[in-house]
Amino acid sequence: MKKVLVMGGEALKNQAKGPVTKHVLKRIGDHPPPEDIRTIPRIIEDRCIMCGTCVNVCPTHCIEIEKDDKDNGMIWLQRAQCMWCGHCQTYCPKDAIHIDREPALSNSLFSFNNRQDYEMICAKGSFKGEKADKKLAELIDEGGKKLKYLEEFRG
Amino acid sequence: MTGEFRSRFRTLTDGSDAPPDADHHIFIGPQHPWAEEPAHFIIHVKGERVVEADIRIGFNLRGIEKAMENKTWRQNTMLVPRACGICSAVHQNIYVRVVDRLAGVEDQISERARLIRMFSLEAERVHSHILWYGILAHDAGFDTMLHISWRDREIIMDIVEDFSGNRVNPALMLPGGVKRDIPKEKADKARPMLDELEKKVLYHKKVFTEEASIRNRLEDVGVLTKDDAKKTTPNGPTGRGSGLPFDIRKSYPYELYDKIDWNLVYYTEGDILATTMVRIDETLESIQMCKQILDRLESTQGELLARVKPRIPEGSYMSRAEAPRGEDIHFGIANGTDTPERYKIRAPSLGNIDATLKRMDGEYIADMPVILRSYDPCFSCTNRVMIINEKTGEKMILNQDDFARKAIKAKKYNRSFF
Repeated sequence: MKKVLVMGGEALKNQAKGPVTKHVLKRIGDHPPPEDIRTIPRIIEDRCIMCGTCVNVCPTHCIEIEKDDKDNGMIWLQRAQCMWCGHCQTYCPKDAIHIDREPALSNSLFSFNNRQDYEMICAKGSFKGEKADKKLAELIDEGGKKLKYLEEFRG
Repeated sequence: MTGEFRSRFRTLTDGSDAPPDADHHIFIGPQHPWAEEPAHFIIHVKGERVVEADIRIGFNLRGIEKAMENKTWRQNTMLVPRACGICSAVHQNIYVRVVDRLAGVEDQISERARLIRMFSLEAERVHSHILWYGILAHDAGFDTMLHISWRDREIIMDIVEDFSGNRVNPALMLPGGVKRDIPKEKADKARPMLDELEKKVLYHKKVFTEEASIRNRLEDVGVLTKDDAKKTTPNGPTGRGSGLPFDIRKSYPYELYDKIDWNLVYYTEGDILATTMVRIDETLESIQMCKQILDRLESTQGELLARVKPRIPEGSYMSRAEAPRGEDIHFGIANGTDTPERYKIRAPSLGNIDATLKRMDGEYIADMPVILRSYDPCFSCTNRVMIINEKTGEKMILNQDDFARKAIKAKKYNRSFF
């Protein structure tokens, strides 16, 4: 029953093929990311009713909301904290959330630019424009302070 | 405790509690080239032979159970799969079944939702087993098999990614049903891929049974006889390799496992090769089940998600399932609010430790990596707190206050902890 060189054929095949890394760049085109890949959420502003379900349901508390009533409010996202579970999409009562397919991963995840960390994903009514920009600037400032503390701590 | 009880948590500070025959003690882990997982093994050897082995765990307690008490039931659906890196779907499945029962929606879940849940579970079993025997071959010094098996594992990973949107964390399940449907186009795309994977796994089986260089490392190594297995109570493939035909899917069927054709795989030899063959045969069986489920999905219709309210009524429920590594148990207590009162997870690796240490007795030290790998150790999902008195075998589970009080008293008055 015991034999030697059972995998001889496989070894010869691989020898003839050459290194796999040679073909990697060609193969990326053959394997596009699947259509329903889960990444960060986006909100369609016309459908959003500022109910706050996505905020309550988010496991990592990465979505936050500030609002007056259902037409005036804003929702922002802390990108680095989002774990792409898609819970907000599932529980949204108005189907206002869809998932971004190409979120420019290299910018959002591993950059040390804290400006990328926060993102205003929905701003409606009186909150649109000046108020949202001011809030975003505040958040980025706070993030910058945190980063500074961290750097001091690291030394 | 019985006379055969022996503490696996020796201190070795003055050498007095070491086994008398041993002349050397070898320490493996928690940081070691062999170990991907943080565990500390103390192996007592005489010459080349192992006399006994001890284990120390607890290097990777992440406090998932405590974190769950501070989150809502809905949020926890996404926290639970993070308990384990590989068997994430099985943890989520048990959690979801606990919530279904507590919320009283168990009979509202449609057949289609249950079939999709089962597909996720079986696909996970396939990729977990392939990963495991790849690493086993690597530990036995047969790296070609590692590369080839992990290359072929990508086929099932692609299918899971296509269906769920993520490679290892499919997270398809929700209390009351599933999150996504498997449409016909995707199923048609997956079927030829499953056929291809079946061919590849048959080739893997041929290599493990015929190739001398791997078979010599696994055959008659670390034999766990049926009697020993009954004493040390292994679960999952470790037990099934030693002639204990016990599988939760057969014994206490959940989801739709009683309505699908599949065979229970078990071997009676008890060595590492038998455990490996159990897992390879199970992989083939799971691929066959995946195909059946895809066929049945075509003729089954139904609502995907039943409504579950965020507040769960008072009650408690224990649920279990067959994870790729063995039996996984969850116990949840609800108190009428939207957060759990207490949630307990017992991961399968904990039940297999004793049997694996039993396997080592009398083996060569060179066979240790293979034997330690044999039960697929996974400690990040295993580590919990329990205090055992070494002399009497008394077990205590303490909360934080009691523990602190006892420890301070023991330190202050210089007396024993118990």
